[in-house]
Amino acid sequence: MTRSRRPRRLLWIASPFAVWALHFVLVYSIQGLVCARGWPLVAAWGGMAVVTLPAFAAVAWLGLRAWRRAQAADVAGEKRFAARLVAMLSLLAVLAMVFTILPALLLNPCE
Amino acid sequence: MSVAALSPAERERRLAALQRIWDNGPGLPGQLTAVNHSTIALRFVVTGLAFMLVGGLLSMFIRLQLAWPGAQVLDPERYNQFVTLHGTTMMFLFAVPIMEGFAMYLLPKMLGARDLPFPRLSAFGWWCYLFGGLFLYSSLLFDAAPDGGWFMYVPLTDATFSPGKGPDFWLIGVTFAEIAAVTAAVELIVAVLVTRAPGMDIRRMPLFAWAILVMAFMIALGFPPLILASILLELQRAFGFVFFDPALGGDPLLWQHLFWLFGHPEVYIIFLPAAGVVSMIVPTFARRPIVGYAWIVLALVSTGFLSFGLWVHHMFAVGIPLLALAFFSAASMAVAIPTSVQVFAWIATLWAGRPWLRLPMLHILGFLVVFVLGGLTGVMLAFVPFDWQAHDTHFVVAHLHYVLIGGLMFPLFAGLYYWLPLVSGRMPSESIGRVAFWLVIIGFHLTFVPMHLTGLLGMPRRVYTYSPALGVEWLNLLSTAAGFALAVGIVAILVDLGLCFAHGRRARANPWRAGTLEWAVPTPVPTYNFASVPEVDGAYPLWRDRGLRERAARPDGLLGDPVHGRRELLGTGIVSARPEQVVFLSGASWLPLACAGVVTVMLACFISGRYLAAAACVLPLVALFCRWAWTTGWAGAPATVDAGQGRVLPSQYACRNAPGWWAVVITMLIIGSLFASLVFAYFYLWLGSAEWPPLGMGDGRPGLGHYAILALLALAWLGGATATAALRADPRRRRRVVAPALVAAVAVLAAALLQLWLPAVSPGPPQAHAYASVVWTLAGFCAVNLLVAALLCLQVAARVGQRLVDAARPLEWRVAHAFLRYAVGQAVVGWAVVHLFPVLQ
Repeated sequence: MTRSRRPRRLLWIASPFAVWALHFVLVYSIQGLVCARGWPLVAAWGGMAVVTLPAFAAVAWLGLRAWRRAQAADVAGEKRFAARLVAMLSLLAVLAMVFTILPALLLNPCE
Repeated sequence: MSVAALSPAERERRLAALQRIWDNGPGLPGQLTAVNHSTIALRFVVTGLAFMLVGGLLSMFIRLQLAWPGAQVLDPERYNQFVTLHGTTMMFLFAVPIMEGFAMYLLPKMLGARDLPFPRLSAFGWWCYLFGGLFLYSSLLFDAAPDGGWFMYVPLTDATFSPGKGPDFWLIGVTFAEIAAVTAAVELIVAVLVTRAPGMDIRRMPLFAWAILVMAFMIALGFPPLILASILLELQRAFGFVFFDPALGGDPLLWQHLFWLFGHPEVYIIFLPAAGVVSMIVPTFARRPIVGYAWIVLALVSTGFLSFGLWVHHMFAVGIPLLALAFFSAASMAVAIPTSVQVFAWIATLWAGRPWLRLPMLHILGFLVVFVLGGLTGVMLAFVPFDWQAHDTHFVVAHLHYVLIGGLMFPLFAGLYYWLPLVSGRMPSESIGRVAFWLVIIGFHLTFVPMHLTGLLGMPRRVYTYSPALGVEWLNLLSTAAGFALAVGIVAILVDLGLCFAHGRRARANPWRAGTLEWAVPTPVPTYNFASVPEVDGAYPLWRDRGLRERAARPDGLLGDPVHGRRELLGTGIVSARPEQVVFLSGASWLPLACAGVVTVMLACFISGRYLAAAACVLPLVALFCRWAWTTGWAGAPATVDAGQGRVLPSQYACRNAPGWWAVVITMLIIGSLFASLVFAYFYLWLGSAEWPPLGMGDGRPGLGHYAILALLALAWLGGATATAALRADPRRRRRVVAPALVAAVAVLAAALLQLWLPAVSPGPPQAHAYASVVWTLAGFCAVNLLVAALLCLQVAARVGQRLVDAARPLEWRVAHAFLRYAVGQAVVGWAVVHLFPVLQ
């Protein structure tokens, strides 16, 4: 397992929720933009889908990579700890994103 | 570890040298120039408590006024002023600074360090905090106290509806005091990242350090929106810029967005350090390691992020589409999950341990009860329909006091009692302390439980009286009476602490038998904390290693021999905490006080309308900061240093992870957050506008001058890169470094001046429309950063010329070059926003 040398850096721990934050900002901006400009609602749904799917993919990638790293045999204790943390945070970030996007499936964007 | 025992004479010599090197200096000048973290941090705590008493006194007047409908204790204007000052004081002058004080005092001791990495910066922060707080309160002398609420909503606070100086005192005073928060953020992040004791890798860091790390990042990202909003509103009030006036393309909601973008993270900026305190105290009194260390770290990190997705829940009633509200409602509920993870971890630790109910623990139990209740009403308010019912009523007042008093005050009192023996060498008295605790907790509940009811019955908040028809007068009378009991309890706690500080029973070493490093520091606390930097191998080193305390007080370990006669700190790797560098710190200095003094004069000139005088103050200020930068650390530091015990380490000037490097990274994060808030303002105003740019303000397309800016920026970038390459290539040919650095400085200087001049051509005066205002502000913001980059380049070029910076010690140029690249990149983004976006839209 020498493919991935991360996490060498502590701040890597912030990455899953950084994706969450970016996703949150984008979804909120798309909704605001579409409603303020009176564009068709399809644009809102389409835009949200376009940012949500890559966001899920990115967090899943981060989480799986970290999980594999945490399972690897040749990793020092503190690095294994960081990898486990990133894996768990990725799971939480996915849940948070599901929680964020859920209302979009239930509500009309501009009411 | 085999070290020959020191002779008693040598041991005394080293201890005396450490004492001399780290001492604050005698008398009043010694106090005015002090930069030591213990000294400065205690000042933060004492100043914070003083402001708490003043803020508390204001709340007593508020409660008296509300005791009965139609009471005439305060007239409506005075009531508004007191409500504003109470909220502002408690948030900005008490809650945030006092926790920073805790962190500044405890963090180096918990991490096994001798001081914080930027001592003069913490001293400067404290002076700014003190002067900023006094600045705000001086408004009472001029009968111009702010009365627009601690949230300062426009249009109430704009020049039309608040023509006096009140909002100016608020905007300037609070922003001034916030300098302390921002500087502390830089200081604390760098301290946690690079100054931990050898062996304290990220699994073994005290949870308080994790909490402070997350909090400091939140300050770095969360305070800038408010600072920016304050600058925008002050520009509008003082110079007629338009940001919040809809008649000219502004939007009052922009203020609310920026304010709460700060305001909600703020709640967690207050709560997380308090949670860190709890995570330190609970294991000690449960007499076992914390349960779920990783889960708590997880909770801290996710809270840090999620709390940025809540801000609109303060704006549920302003008429935003439901789906947008739902996003924020979801995040508001989600944030309760990591918070409760922490609560469960604390309960589990107590459950699994053998709890010992001493005074600090009593306050922790109070915290758990009060905070959980406040959290539950928080989840209720996160539901949009419920919020619409309870919005702007006393229900919200009850909720926020449960969260803030529960989340901050109880852990604060627990912490004050817990660390009292460390600071004073004396024990708290269980008897008076327990009576005061019960007074506080009973007084608290009887004050704020009735407010839930009065709120649900419809009693509005922020109003100086209420209708007898509501039928809430008895509940209010109860609140007021109990509020006084609460106040008596709090004063009793402070008196008790003060008495114990002076006359308490002498404490044994580590009287609570705690496991973390701060208890290895002897009492009275030496200014250098540890004679030798300790090495640790667990999260609770004192439980594993009984000899550690004694070894750390003996000057024969790491950095035990102060041969250089300088203040030295051991720097370690970020993840694994292996020794990496020896950091030479700056000593006592007049500069922090002088800089804060000049800022005070400048702001006083500004608020009294003497703008030229205020602008003239920039010159001495820049001169002082240049002097500061010139005298930082130890210019003559060797590239490698013997750290003792056979370890030879580079000095910080030669180390990749140097504190100065991380400081500039965090500073760029802070400025980036300011810039992002400004760009957000631009797009927010664009979104609400019919035509952008408005008629008669040009079309935003770049002209010849604008392309010249880009060319100059490219030249600066090239100059910086050339200088870096030359510095690496041939250490002897200094001119090859100095020349391109000077070119870069001149190029950014020219770009900055051009950028300041061009908006006058197009779009014209900033007072005409929000578009012009925001374009001017963006240009000005980028220009100021470019000017700073030019100054840095000039300064470091001079230092290269003086042979103070070279290939073996490149730190200062790395810092200057990083900032240069940042400022250039930011100017390019700003350029694209102003000149490309209107064309592309």
